[in-house]
Amino acid sequence: MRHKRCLVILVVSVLVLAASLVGHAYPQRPITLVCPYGVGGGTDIVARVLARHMEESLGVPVVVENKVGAGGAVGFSYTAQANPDGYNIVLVALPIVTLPVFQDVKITHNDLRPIGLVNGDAAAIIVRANSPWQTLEDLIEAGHSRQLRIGTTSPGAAWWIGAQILKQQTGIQGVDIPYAAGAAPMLTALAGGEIEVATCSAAEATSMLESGEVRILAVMSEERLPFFPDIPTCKEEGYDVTFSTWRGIMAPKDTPDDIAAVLEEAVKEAAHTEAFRKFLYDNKYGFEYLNPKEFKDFMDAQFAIFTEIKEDL
Amino acid sequence: MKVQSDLLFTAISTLVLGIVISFHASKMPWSCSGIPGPAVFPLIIGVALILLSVANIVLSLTGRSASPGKTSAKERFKALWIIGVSVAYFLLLKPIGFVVLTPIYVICLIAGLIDWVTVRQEKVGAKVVVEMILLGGAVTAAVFLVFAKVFLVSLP
Amino acid sequence: MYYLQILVTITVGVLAGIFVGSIPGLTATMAIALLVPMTFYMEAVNAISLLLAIYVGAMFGGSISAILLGIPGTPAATATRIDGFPMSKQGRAGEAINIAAMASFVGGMVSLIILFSVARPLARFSLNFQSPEYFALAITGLTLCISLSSKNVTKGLVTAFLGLFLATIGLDELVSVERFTFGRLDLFDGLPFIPAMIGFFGFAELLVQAEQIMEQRRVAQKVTSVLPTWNDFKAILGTSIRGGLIGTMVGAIPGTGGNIAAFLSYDITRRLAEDEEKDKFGEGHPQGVAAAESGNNGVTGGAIIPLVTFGIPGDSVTAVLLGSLLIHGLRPGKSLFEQQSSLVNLIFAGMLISNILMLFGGIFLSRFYAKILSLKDQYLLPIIAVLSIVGAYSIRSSLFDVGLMLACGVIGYLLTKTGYSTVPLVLGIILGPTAEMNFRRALLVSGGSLTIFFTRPISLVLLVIAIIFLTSSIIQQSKNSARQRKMRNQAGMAG
Repeated sequence: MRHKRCLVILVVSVLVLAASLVGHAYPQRPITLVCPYGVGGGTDIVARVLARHMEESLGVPVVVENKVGAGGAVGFSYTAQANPDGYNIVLVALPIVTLPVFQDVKITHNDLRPIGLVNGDAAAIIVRANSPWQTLEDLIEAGHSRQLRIGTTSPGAAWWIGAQILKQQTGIQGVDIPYAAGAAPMLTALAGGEIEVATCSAAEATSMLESGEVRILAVMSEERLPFFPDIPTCKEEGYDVTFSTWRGIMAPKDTPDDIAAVLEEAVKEAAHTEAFRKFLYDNKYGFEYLNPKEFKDFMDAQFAIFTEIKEDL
Repeated sequence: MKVQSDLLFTAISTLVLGIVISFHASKMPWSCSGIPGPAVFPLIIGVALILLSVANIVLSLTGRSASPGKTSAKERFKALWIIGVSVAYFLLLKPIGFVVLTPIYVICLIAGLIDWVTVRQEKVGAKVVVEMILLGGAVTAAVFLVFAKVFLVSLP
Repeated sequence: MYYLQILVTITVGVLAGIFVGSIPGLTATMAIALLVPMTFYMEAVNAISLLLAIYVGAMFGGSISAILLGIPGTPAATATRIDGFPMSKQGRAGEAINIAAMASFVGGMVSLIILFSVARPLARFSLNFQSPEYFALAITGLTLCISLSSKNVTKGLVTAFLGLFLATIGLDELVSVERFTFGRLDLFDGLPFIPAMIGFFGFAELLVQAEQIMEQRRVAQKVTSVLPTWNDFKAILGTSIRGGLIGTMVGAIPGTGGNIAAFLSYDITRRLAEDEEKDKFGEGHPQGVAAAESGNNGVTGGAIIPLVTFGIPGDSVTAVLLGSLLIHGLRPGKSLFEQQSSLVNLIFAGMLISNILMLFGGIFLSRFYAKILSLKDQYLLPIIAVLSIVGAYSIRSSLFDVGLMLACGVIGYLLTKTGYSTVPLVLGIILGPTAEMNFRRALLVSGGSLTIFFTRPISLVLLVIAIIFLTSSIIQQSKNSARQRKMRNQAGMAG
């Protein structure tokens, strides 16, 4: 009798111990957060700041590794093929739904598992400070009477799509002038007069806005941006134009549910910390958060929107 | 009028390359939205290569091309050895891994470069072998430390 | 105490920068990127001074392996290799590194002086650089290919065009059409420059030297009297100031970096030299090293100009620096100068100190570095081989890049053995995309009209300079071949 009870106690304690070990098994080593874009760029900075805040709740280092190439596809593919053990995650951005539509890239958002959306930046319509247009309407009027020089990033990239949407919805006629190296050279060209208008996020234009070289005519979002309360949205001006780029964390498709849950919680916490939100606000990145299910639905919807836009082009 | 065969070889290679480039370029769009398209520059390059290669072929056939000295087979072997071992290293790196493969690589390279005849003459074989192994280990360790540990490059 | 802490940070930064710069495959951008998260925990002044110190150190550091091993440690040191490497082959490695240190110092100081004084007007001027000007600048740089291959024009042009071809690999910037990628994602963004450079310069040279192992011992390095004298300094001062000016201006133009500055400085210095001296360039002329190094360090101050006035990065390192500024809540532009002027002053002072430390550090380290070359070839070459492989790998953690490096190495070896120089090739790779894309984009802007290149003043001036360079090279070339023919005739008559 006694032996049997001892045995039961022993078995139960072993089971409890095992259960507690399993519970604490993850994470035990540093986690790699892949950033599919270059060091120092918008996504890279967001990744690094987010990583720092994720470390607080995960208890292990979160190391950002840049895997640049093919507009982000290299980084996305790398993580999609990585070990689904919770130690490999990636900060994806809008291109994960636009690359398969506009370029011939094979990877889609369905090849990864959503963990959480952490940021959204609406596009802003930007002109040179000393340009003759004060409102969106002025610009559109000009764009109806002649071809404008519109700056874009490489065909298929976010701000190129923004320019196409702008033209589609407002009837502006223009010549696309692409700058493949990103928003920075595009804005420099704007300041120098080579192009007359460009769309990109407020975050990317921050320094030129503050130095007074450029100004925003309108923003392509649902509501006015918190850091520019005086700038109207396109909707207010009468044009149903919205477009934003966004960033979110994803993991390899087969990452187990319990590990994903830990990640989801960590990302949610990190994204909602005071410090992270302040960082976003100060640098004019938009704060958005979507949980995994909402994130997936959002990406599906985006994919559909862009497929439609492509067909209309 | 001696034919400089190695120069001829290079010149013909560049000629072939020029033809290949021109061929591929001709299949690309010539003009997009009113400006020269992706085909233009490669085509210019391809044609230029063809013309220059022909010039070089002529020069090498008439022995007028400036050329560095000849190398013996033994000397060339050293270079070929390095290429061969390096290709093997490249192919085996992923399966075998950096830490294990690199010392072997270093030792093989040194082995191919050493003048074994002199070594045998001076009877320093043992010393040389020890040096080889030490260097293999030291180089691997140093590179690993700097690249993998300090700069967090994830070596295979 | 506060200032002491910054001083220590800067010292560490400069030494780390020199070290990182001197290893091919480790770039200043990588080092800075790595440290950015660490700088979160530091105060803004410390963080930024550290990053700038690394930047300054690395620009010089790249010359060390360019001189010793023939592999530029950073892309900006490519021009340094042209004369630096031959100098080390002649046993003058220590001297070359010293010149590099001094020239880098002068270049950096010139750029700082300009940064202090005329930053805003210069920044404003740099906004005039648009697509036509970038094209004209690239063309001017490309004329260097002709002058570099004065010994053998047809071969030099072949390698230049080869380089231009390699530059077309990848997704066409303007039209999203894949060119010569054969479906490989790794080539989407073009040929990865650093692995290719390591291959063409490092591995290829390795193979060539392997063949000569049997021959007599390598020339002994003069490491004894390596401290430079005041006369040595004076000798390169003029060239270095000129290089610094060129570097600063090129650095202030967004999107151009140490590479172009170094080559332009080199080319101009060469053209200004006496006729007899001209031939010595490419075979170990100290002025060549000085010109290149002052050019690339001149970029350090120059690139900061658009950064702090407009928030536009002048090159890839300042792009990371911009990110770091933003993370610390410092936003470039008028506000930075007006509200944070004490911070800005401290940063300038930091760069000043960085340059001074780099000078002393460089000279001090030169004798140690030069000693590396006294290793026996059979040990040195395998070390270079491993470094080449790991270096090529590290840029994108990509095995493909290693294979690419090896392929470039074999091709470079074949080219060198048959008398083709790889320098125009690398120049073609660097300048090709700038030339092509900006040419086509300028035409987009002008609606297809070529006059845009001639109606814009800066573009016109640059194109005229390019034509002058071209014609002077052609004249030089015919003078050379006339001289050679005369010598051959004389030899024929004597024989």
